[in-house]
Amino acid sequence: MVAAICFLAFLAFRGLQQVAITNSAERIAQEKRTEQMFQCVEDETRRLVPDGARVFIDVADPAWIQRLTTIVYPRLEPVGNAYVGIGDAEFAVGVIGDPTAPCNGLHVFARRL
Amino acid sequence: MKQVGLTLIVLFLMGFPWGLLATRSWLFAAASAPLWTGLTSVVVVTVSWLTGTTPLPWFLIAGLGGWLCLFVAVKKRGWPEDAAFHPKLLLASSLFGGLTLLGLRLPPVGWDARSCWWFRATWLFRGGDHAKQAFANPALNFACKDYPPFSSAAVAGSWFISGSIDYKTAQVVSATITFSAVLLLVLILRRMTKSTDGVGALLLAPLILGINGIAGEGLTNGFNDLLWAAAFLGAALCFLPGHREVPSGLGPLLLTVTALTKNEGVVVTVILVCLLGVYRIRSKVPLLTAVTALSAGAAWQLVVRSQGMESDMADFAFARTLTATQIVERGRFVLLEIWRADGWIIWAGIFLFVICADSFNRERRRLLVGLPILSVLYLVALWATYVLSSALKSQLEVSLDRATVFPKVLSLTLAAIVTLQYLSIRQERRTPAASSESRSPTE
Repeated sequence: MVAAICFLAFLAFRGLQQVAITNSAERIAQEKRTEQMFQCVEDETRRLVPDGARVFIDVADPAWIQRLTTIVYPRLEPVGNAYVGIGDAEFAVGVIGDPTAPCNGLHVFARRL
Repeated sequence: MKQVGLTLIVLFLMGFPWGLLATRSWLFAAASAPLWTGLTSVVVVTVSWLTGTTPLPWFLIAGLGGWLCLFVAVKKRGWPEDAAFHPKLLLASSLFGGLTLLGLRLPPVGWDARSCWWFRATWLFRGGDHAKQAFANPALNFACKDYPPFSSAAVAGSWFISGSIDYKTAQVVSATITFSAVLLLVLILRRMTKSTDGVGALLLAPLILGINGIAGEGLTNGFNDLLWAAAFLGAALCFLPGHREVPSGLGPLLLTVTALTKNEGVVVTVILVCLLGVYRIRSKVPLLTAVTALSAGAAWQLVVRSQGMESDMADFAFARTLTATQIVERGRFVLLEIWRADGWIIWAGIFLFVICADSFNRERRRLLVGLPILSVLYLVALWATYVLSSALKSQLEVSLDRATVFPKVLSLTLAAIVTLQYLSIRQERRTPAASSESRSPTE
């Protein structure tokens, strides 16, 4: 029983540690930056592409294909990407790294196809 | 904030009558209400998807239907007789639950939540026709289309109530249904071991905090690994030890939630059904309800497979190309990685249970042994999935921590069962007369 209680207590202590990590100022600031980046990319595409347009997600990195797709959807309709093909897209939308760009070092571009 | 508050109230009010009808207990009805609402949402969005209609009217029908059924049942059988208020449990769950739910301060940017669960919720929110198109759109294939709909449907349901897509609401709803499953697991443990409110409240601390430590931010970031793990463990505790103290409606609810939450949930449900078959438990009810819950998960798999969607893990064409030496090498690598991902927690819990097994009576030990067996069989299935995966390293990197949440939480549960068993033995020794009167014939 002592071993079981020690085991429970150890895991509970780790849970408390996790609470501290999750609520640390550094972690919150990091996640807020990510949220701001998502919001900024969304605002930029909203400025560049009219609502309801069919878009090709013009990024090679699979992680960014997913990110950009979820950020622009459902206002824009993703119909293709590097894996699916260009489809009947009206616009190509993508992001490239640019230290001077406003979205946390990301530049959003869009061009009519 | 107002939107989130309103959603939470509806999440509770919509599921509460179904909870009270199924459990006949105020405590379990309150704790399970968000899960019942989630289940209602699955039915509503499926009907909406199949009929191509807007989900809101179906939602209203389901909500009002619950209260109407409760009204009729209360007229016939009266209100439940158990205590409606448990101050110690309420205080402990508010305190430790509140502590772990502080993670909601983080913005809703958890990647799997955004790209899978909440993304699919946006399709369901927009109605049946839109969902059909989105599921058929190959550009959205990354959104884990083959995964069951429970969490996405619950989030979509909350958006119907608030009227718009809002990720903060999604995060709060996901956390609430997950916390509901965790709380039910603790309450089932307490009831199973006939612990008092005070012991139950004490148990809440190590269990909720321990689960929080195991799942990382899994309680509040919108991921569903903790949800199915806690729900399944609750269901397994309801079915395996065959305890009459736990309301009979809880097992089916929790197992259905498991089978409808993630593909891993379907796998463990299959394992549980097999175990129940092997055990030949006298009552056929657990086996039948388990099979029904499994059918719900299997039905979803059939629907999505018929639409041409495939799992991102199972790549049978690749698996066929592997040689025996490669399989052995990969197998060893996966085992090592599981150990590195705090795998010792899994074996420590099982070890504790094994060395303390003689403290349980024979029948109970026979049934409880099913829990470590579940853990080992799940690990074998997990190991095989990774070994046969075409993108072994990347899959391990992104999912191993989450995929091992279930056996780790099971380990924690085993340690709690062992502790409670010793406490109850000590209690019995102190008050032999009282305990012999209250002991149930099944023990």
